[in-house]
This record gives sequence, structure tokens and C-alpha cells, in this order.
Amino acid sequence: MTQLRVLRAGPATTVQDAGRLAWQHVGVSPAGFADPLLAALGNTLLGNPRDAAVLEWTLHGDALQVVGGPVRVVVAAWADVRVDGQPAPNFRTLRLHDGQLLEVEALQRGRHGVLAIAGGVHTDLVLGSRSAHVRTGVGGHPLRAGDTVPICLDVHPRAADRFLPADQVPQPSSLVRILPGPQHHLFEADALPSLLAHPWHVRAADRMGARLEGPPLQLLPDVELVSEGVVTGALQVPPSGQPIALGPDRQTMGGYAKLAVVISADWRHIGQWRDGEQVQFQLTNLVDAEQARINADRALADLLAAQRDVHDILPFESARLLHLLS
Amino acid sequence: MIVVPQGDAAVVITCAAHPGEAASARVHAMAAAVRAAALPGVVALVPGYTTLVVHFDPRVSRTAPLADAIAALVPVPAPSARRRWHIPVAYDGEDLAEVAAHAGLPTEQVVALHSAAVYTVACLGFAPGFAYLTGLPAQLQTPRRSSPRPRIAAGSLILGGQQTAIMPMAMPSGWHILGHTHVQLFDVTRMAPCLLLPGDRVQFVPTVAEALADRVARCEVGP
Repeated sequence: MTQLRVLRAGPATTVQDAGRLAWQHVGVSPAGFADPLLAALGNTLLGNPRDAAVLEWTLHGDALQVVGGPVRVVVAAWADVRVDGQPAPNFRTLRLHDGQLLEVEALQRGRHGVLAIAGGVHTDLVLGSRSAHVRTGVGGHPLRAGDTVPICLDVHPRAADRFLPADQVPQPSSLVRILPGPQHHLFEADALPSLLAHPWHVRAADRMGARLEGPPLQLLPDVELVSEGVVTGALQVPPSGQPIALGPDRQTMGGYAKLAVVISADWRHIGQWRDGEQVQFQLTNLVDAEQARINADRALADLLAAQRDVHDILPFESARLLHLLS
Repeated sequence: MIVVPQGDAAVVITCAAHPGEAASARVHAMAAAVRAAALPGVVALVPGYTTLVVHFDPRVSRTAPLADAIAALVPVPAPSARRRWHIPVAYDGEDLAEVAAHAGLPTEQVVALHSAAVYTVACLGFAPGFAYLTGLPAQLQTPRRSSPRPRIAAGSLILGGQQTAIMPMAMPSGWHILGHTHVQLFDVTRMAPCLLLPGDRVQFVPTVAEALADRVARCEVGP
């Protein structure tokens, strides 16, 4: 079976798919893609299902050596890529042979990047998902040098090489849209306006969430709260008044009041925020949030349609190929 | 029953004003009703102390029709039979003396009170298999530690505020450690990965540490 051997691991490279949503009632965090859009782009360029398991990098890529192969991969990340020391493109099929070395450097944009692999990563399914939840170890741990990553069989080994023009890949955004949260009425009247009026500094971001820094958001006095289920995108406000935007590795329940919730179309941006970045919130309503969801899905469909076979832009090479075949 | 959105991919059903046995019964009756209704797009149900959160795929369903469908459901009360777990624990935790000092009781009395109480699983959260237990005797309620420990061992019997629990896996925690058990609260290789479920009763059986490895969690089912 084809494998990728980790020669040098980034700070927190994990296997991720769409996550294990259905086990939240017994306390299992969903985990899953920090940026589902990058995973969908990488996977579909290879002919994989959109949610096939990928390697997701945090801040820095890895050095990976192919064992077996050949294997088709796509680097869906803004980073310098090298194959056997030679520069190689991102958002484009790369064909790697036994022994070849793929190196991905520091991510130049965003916090997460994706290595999609034809067939998908083939680690064990745990409760229906391959996603690694870093804090509990459910589904696995971050990769370390010496680990090997098993790859599923590539069912389309002769598929054409494909690419997506890099300028068409949607960028991470520091502006996200929010809806008022289920406890917004338990805050001082100026809390929601203050959340919207000020830029917020990302103080510490990880897969669980992004801690934000700004003017304290105050709860009304004597509010009694009990823990309840939380969603990805929820802006929880602990007693410090400094909100936390929840990411895919969030806990299933939380005891803090939720002033607002980032709409699902914008969740991917939370996973891309970096420490020190300034982010901003814009108020929307449920109807517009639902429309934003539809628009995001349409935009993704357009992106998938915009993918091109590599020979589309290499008339000379394809002409030569036709000549050889005739 | 009030249904409000939590973003565009979940709704919160408030089933009771205050936590407690009656509130938990209503939350779980509502969860049973939503599960049985098989509403389109629903991906997860998360019961809390007073609320049920229904997660849904926003590509499949929308908030308003889903909330209307939920509001029309009739809660399904749980069968009266309950599971009563007897979990062997060694009361040898490093914070036992501190909890005793806070309560103004000898440690033997803390162990006697803690192991005599019958706890009820209100809900699960924080970590896989982590059961929030209600029923901690008032004398034992102790504020959480001022500085959380970065890691406490799996199987730790812990106490924080008005609650007590067993830590299913090594995690950070600000709760006090009373003891430990070998019983596994969560194991993905089991048919039912999660040992304790909402509504279960739990009692702790004081056991010498050396004997823990041989003891399983016993369970009775009855009214």
C-alpha cells in the first residue's frame, strides 16, 4: 500500500475529514476540517469525494517521502512547495513516485493548509470519522517525524492532471458575519454594538477556537448560566469579557454566555485567523445568513467548474501528444 | 418550551427554567421526540441541563421550518426503569485532605458522604464520556482550584463546585482530585462507547487501590 513517510513534521499536522458530528451527545468533539473549502478544492481536483480525509497543516507544512506510489496529490495551501528540491505549483495535481520528497514550507496566508491525496488518507475510522481531535486524541494525534500515513487506493490513476488558477481561490477573510447569540439579551446593552464597532485582536488561536482581545463585553449582573450545547462559530464570553470564537475542535457544551454566532458560510475564516491578526464582525440576519450559505455553495460549485485539465493550457504539449498517438 | 436559533445551523430548545431532575427528564423526553421525528438535516442532538441543542446541516434544512416542526412535537417520556451503576473507586486523591479541610470534616467522613450519595447523570460534555453528575452533598461542595492543573490522569475521581465526575481521559482540570478508578468511561471499541448515559444513577464504592484492577462497574436496572 502506498504511504507517505514523515521526514519532518510541521507544528500540528493532523488527518481531517468532515468530522464526527453525531457523537456530540456523549461529549465527543466534532473535530474536522478547519478550512473545509481548501479540502473540497484539493479533493475535487483529484476526483476524490469532497470530504475525503486529508492532511491539514497548521502554520507550516511537512517533508513527506513517498513509499510505494505513484501517488497524485494537491497542495491546497498558500506556501512554497518543492518536489525533490525543485519548485512545484500549489492547487495543481502533482504526481509523485516512490522515494520522491514533497516539502511544504511555512504557510504564507491563513493558518491552515491542506494536502489532498488521490484516494484519501486511510487511517482507521473512529466513530465514523478519521479526524484527529488533538486535545483528547480521539482519531489520532498530530504527525511526528517517523510516522507513516497510509493512503487509500487511487481509483483514477490515469485521470488528467488538473489545476485551479491560484487567483480564483477564495482568500481567508478577517471580516465575518454574525447573528445575535442565544444569550445576547443577558449582556449589557452596549455589548453587541461594542463587538461590532471595534476591531478584535486574535490573541491565541488553535483548532478549539480563537481567543480575541478588545474592550471587555459585560454580562448583566447576577446572571445565572448553566452549560448547554454549543456550535462552531459561537462567540462565548467568559467573565474576562474577552470572547472566544469556537472552532471545529470545540467542546460539545459550554457554560459561558454566547453573545453572537458566526454564520456557517464564514466558519472557514475562523480556522484561518492568525495570532496578532485584527478581525471584525458584521451583523446580519437569519434570512441573509441562509442566502450567504446558498451563495457560498454556489461559489464552490463555480470553483469546481473552473478547474481545468492541465493540457487545456498547454496546447503545444497536447498537440505533440496527439501527434504521437496518430 | 422555547426554540431559538444558535447561528444558522442549530436551534436551542429551552425545556425548563432551572436545572434539576425534572428539567433533565423534560430535556431527555424532548431529545427522544426529536430523534423519533427524524427531521431532515438533523446531525446531532446535545442535551444540556435545561436545554436541548439540535444541530442541523444548513444545506439541507432551514431554521424556521425546523423550529416549527420541533415546536409541534410531543415529548416522549423515558421508560421508568433506570440503570444504577456501582463504580469502584480508591479514595486516595491528592486533594482529599484539602476538600476535607474546606468542609471542616475528617477525611473518613468525606469518603462516607461522597460514597453514600446517589448521583444522577444530567448530561455529557467537556470530554468524550464525561458525565455531569448531580447530587453532590452540600457539605462537600468546594470551589474549584484557583489554578487548574494542565493534566490530570484518566480515571481521576474529581469534584468542583456543586459537581463530581470521573475524568474519562487525561485532560486539564481545575477540579479537586478525590481518588481514582480503573473503570473506562469511554472506549470506542465497545458496542456502546459511552458507559454512563443521561438519567443513569451512579454510586461510588470505596475500594482499596490494589483491588481496582479486578473490579468492574456493576449495574442494576430497575424502577
